[in-house]
Amino acid sequence: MPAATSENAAAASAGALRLVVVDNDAAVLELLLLDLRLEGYDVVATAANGDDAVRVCEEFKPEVVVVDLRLGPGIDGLEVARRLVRPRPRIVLYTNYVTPAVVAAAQAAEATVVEKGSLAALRRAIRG
Amino acid sequence: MSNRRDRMIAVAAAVVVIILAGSIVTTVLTAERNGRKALESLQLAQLNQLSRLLDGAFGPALKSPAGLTNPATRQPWHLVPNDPSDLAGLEVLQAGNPQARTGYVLLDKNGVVTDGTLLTDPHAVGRTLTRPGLEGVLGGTPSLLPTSTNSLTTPLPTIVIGRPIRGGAIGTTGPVQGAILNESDVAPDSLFTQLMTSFRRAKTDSYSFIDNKNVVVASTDPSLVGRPADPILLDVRTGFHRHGGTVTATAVIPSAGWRAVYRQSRSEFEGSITGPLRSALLLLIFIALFGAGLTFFALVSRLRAARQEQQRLANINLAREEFISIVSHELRTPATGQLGFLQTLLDHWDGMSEPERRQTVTQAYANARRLHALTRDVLDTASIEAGELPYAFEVVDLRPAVQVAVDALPTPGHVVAVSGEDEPLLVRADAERIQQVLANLLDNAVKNSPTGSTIDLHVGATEGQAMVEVSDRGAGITDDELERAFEKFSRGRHATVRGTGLGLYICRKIVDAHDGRIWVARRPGGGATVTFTIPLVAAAPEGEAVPAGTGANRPTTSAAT
Repeated sequence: MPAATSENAAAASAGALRLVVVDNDAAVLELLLLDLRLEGYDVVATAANGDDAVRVCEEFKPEVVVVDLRLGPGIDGLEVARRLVRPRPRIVLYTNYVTPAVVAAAQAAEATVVEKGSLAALRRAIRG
Repeated sequence: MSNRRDRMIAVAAAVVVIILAGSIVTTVLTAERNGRKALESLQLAQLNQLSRLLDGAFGPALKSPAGLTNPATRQPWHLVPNDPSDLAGLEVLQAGNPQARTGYVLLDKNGVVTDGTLLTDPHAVGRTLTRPGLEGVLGGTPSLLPTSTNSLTTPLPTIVIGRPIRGGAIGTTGPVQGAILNESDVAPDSLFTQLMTSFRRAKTDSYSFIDNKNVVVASTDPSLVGRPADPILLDVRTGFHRHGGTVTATAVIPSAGWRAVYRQSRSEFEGSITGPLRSALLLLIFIALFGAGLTFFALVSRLRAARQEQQRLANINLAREEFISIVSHELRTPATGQLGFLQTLLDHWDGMSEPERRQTVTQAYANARRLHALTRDVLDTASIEAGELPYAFEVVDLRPAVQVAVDALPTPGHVVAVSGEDEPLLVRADAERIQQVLANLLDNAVKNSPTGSTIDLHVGATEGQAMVEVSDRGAGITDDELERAFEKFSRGRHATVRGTGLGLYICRKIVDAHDGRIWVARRPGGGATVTFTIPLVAAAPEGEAVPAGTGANRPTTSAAT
């Protein structure tokens, strides 16, 4: 693991992937911000709800968006995925609710589903 | 299944009610018909009796030879006006019936009055008598002359037994020489009228006698006498008949050539039978309806109870599913958080700065604490539901207990301002449970208010109660939330972190177990205040320790912010 970490960290210096992370849970945002930075990614912005997510993505044009499914009042993570079309980032739906319906909807929206709880799976999904 | 059975019972009850009602109606109608027949037979028998009585009186009188010759002289009547021997003969006849109020009259063959007893008008002799039916008598036929007011021997209306007098010694052979009339009054107190009237038994019944010319010759209804009979009365069939709303019975009096007709309104005639039967029918129908109503309501209430039970079970099921969904999500969040922080720590230990490692461990710890607290809430709720939440009561000073709870709360983003006097507040309580209540209230205040805001905690005494108030400066609560705050799974909408909705429910149950009260109100100026009270005790009994309540050995519920 440390080897992979240093590898990514090295990659980060030479044009790291630009990320936006969206979650309405502040603790989750803190965790992802820390971990993904240490993984060598450039987290350019965070958002705590769907509408803010769409806005910051349009502003920062990230390559990857990590978004929770349930974002409280307003649009949810799937709707965020549907709205981000130009330029189209890679979208990782990072959620506690991995059900067949969610997976099908995510596929339709061309988003990758990752169940919360495994950072390794999230890192793999971000790498693509 | 039970619905189907209930429906079967309802159908069976309806069938029973219908059969019962049908049999009641049939029985009553049969009884009514039989009763009516009996009544009709009785009425006809009475009429026949009356007719026979009259026939037995008129027949012999019309056929009697007595008086066809002069009883005084045993010679034929002279039939000339004011003949003394004729008068003497009439006096003999009159003496044979001393109670009579009416008398005898002799007519010659032209109908001229020649003599009479009890004549009301002395000038009547020599005058020609005109009276319906008289021509028949003078034609040679003994006749009963119908009722007429043209009476000679009484001012009252009379009927007359009129017999022709013929030539010859016994007055029965040869051509008609004249007639002898025996008037009989039909005044209300006369024997004939009394006889007719004695057969009456109701308001609308009447007895009428109709001659062969269809004229009413006598009647219990005086207005009918002398007039052509009502078409109903002209039904010549003997026996009992119904004509719409009227019943009639007809019998013949052969000697008089009359028909006796009894007449009554049908409703009155049948009233004596149908009245009580109708009442009985109504009563039975009422009882049947009442019974059916009772059965119906019993069934309805049973169905309603069954539906309510079904709804209750459905609600329980829904609540259970919701509970599982909420709890699994709420447990998952701190579990994945804990896992994530620890994984980052393991993967990036060397790349992290010392403060980063410390912060990450702190976050993992906070998530673990939350997981622990949630697990305990769930287990406590299960214990409360089963009535098995254990309490260890002792005398506790609430003031230091509050401070312990505040110190145990990791609230880096909030300021907790404790206020109140320094007097001890002794209550009989389970110190650990009180810590749980305080931790829950502080945790809620943290969750419901913005980071950096102040949480006010006031401790005091009022009216023999220790009182603790926890106020936040959050968005406040809605009316609905005010009402439902202490219900299971009731979760505030403005909370930054959603909980299981069990915290305040558990608090209420614990405060209830301490004979205290807990309530929530809007804080003036925004936010909400939760207050609970517990009865004060006078002082600590001697030798008993007064623990402040330690939250240290049992983690309190707290926010993960």
